[in-house]
Amino acid sequence: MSEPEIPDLLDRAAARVEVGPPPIGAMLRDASRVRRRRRVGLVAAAAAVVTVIGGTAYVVGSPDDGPSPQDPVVAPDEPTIDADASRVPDGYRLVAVGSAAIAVPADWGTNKVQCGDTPTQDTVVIDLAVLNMCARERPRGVESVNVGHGSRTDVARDLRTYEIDGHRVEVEETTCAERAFIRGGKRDRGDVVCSATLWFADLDASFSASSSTQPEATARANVEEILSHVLVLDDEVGVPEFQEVTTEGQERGGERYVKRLEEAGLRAEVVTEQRPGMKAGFVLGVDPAPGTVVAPGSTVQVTVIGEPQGPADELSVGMNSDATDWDPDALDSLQIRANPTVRIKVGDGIWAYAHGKRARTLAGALDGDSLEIDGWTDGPNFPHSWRAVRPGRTTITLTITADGEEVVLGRVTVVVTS
Amino acid sequence: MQTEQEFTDYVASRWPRLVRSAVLLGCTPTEAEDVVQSALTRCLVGWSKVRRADDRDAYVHKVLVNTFVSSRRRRWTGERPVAVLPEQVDGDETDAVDTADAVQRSLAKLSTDQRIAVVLRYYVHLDERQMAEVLGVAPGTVKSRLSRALKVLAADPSLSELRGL
Repeated sequence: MSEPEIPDLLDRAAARVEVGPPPIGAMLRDASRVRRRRRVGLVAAAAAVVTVIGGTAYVVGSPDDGPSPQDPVVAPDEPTIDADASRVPDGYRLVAVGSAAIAVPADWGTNKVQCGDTPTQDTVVIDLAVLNMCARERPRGVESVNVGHGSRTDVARDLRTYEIDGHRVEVEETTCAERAFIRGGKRDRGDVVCSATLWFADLDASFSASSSTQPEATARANVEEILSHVLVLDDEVGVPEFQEVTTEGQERGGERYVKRLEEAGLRAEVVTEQRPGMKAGFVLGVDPAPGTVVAPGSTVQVTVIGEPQGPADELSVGMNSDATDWDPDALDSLQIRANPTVRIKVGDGIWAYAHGKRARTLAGALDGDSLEIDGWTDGPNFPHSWRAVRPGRTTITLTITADGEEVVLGRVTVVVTS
Repeated sequence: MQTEQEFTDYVASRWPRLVRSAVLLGCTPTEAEDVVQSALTRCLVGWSKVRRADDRDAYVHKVLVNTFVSSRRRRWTGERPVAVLPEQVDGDETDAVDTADAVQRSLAKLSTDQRIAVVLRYYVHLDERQMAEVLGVAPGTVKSRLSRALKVLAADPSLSELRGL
């Protein structure tokens, strides 16, 4: 190739390259993300100065020998600055485990995942103990951070060590992997998902960021940007998680959680709800949600399953039907207790069943003539299984017998149509 | 909004040529789009610099070359290989494909610095002064890189049969 020929040859070679349309939208979005990151960097630097100034005003000692860290000693005319709040950029919210926190965009969801841990939109993942594993492709352009406990899992990755707010952290190098998939019967170019985990050596907290924004360079930048928002709270804490991996000792779950709250310097307000047939003491939920940043001494409402208030709370009861338009879920104890009305057609079956104490005494009394007891005497639900024989309305009163007394569990009105 | 409009107009007119430049630099077509996307995103973040630049195209190519070089560096430090499916070729396009392949094979014989110099000079049509600015080197260095590159290309037998096509 001699010099005069080169431009022409290059043009002809280049012309062979088919070029798709420019991804202008993605570039505009990515650029605004980078600009936001830069602004956050400036805010964080300013906050570090505030913290140092604030630190000189604190007298730190044991609770018995002077003011506690929560009681800053400041000159009367010195303005007090909430260092934590100033470190959270506009449009961000904090999510914390203990005193380790991360600022995430306020419009990110919480636990927006499917199939266990595959994020379906930008999300924080926290306090997910039960994983339903299944194969689901992570959509393109999704950022996420898993907030939790634990330490290094992948010893093959290189580590960087540095300090955040005086605490040592270790960060894995960001690693990217291509996820191939089949589209239109062909193997398509897989999206790249990049991830990295940061954890505190002394705070039992870890933050695992990942991004499926394309191209890879942007995903890498996003992972690093997400982790750049990790900080240590001065005195606020995150509401602890309540989910437990084990089903052992669930009846003491509430007790354990209240203890954790106290250890975190928070107060518990326990409220109970009935879940017939389930063990009392199991934690149903907490408010504010786990990860929410609260001041020391704040009250967290813990909803646990209450002690049984009578025989009806000591078993679970359900009703189901083979009617074609029946909701696939059976009626549960609480729904039956609310005396619902259901609709089935002539020829359909409907039955009741129970688990727990006195389940064998379950009975159903009919008021109406549109249902008859299903004649399958060997069936698992005989004699509380019925078949719709004619249009009309029949109410089934479900009962158990406790100490010779009949206890009503609920009344289900069945409307039969032709 | 004015920035976004300027950016959108610029990209609409330059995108295909920038992607093709990246292919000539040594990217696969999909890599090329990724590299150009990253480079243009960087340009957009600092659009005021693009606006102030005496020569917008030269400035954008400077960012593109830097992005390309850093993407190469990452690739050599153990990144995943990218599987590229062979293109479907119709018989009547064979000549064009041969030319493209031969050009790419020839360019592959150059060092990265030489290859960048050839693409900037003969595909992007920057002059030596602009190239010195883009590459951050003295004009003399541009000259010597180009002349060494031309020697390698002239001696390459895989292109000799294409001469005069």
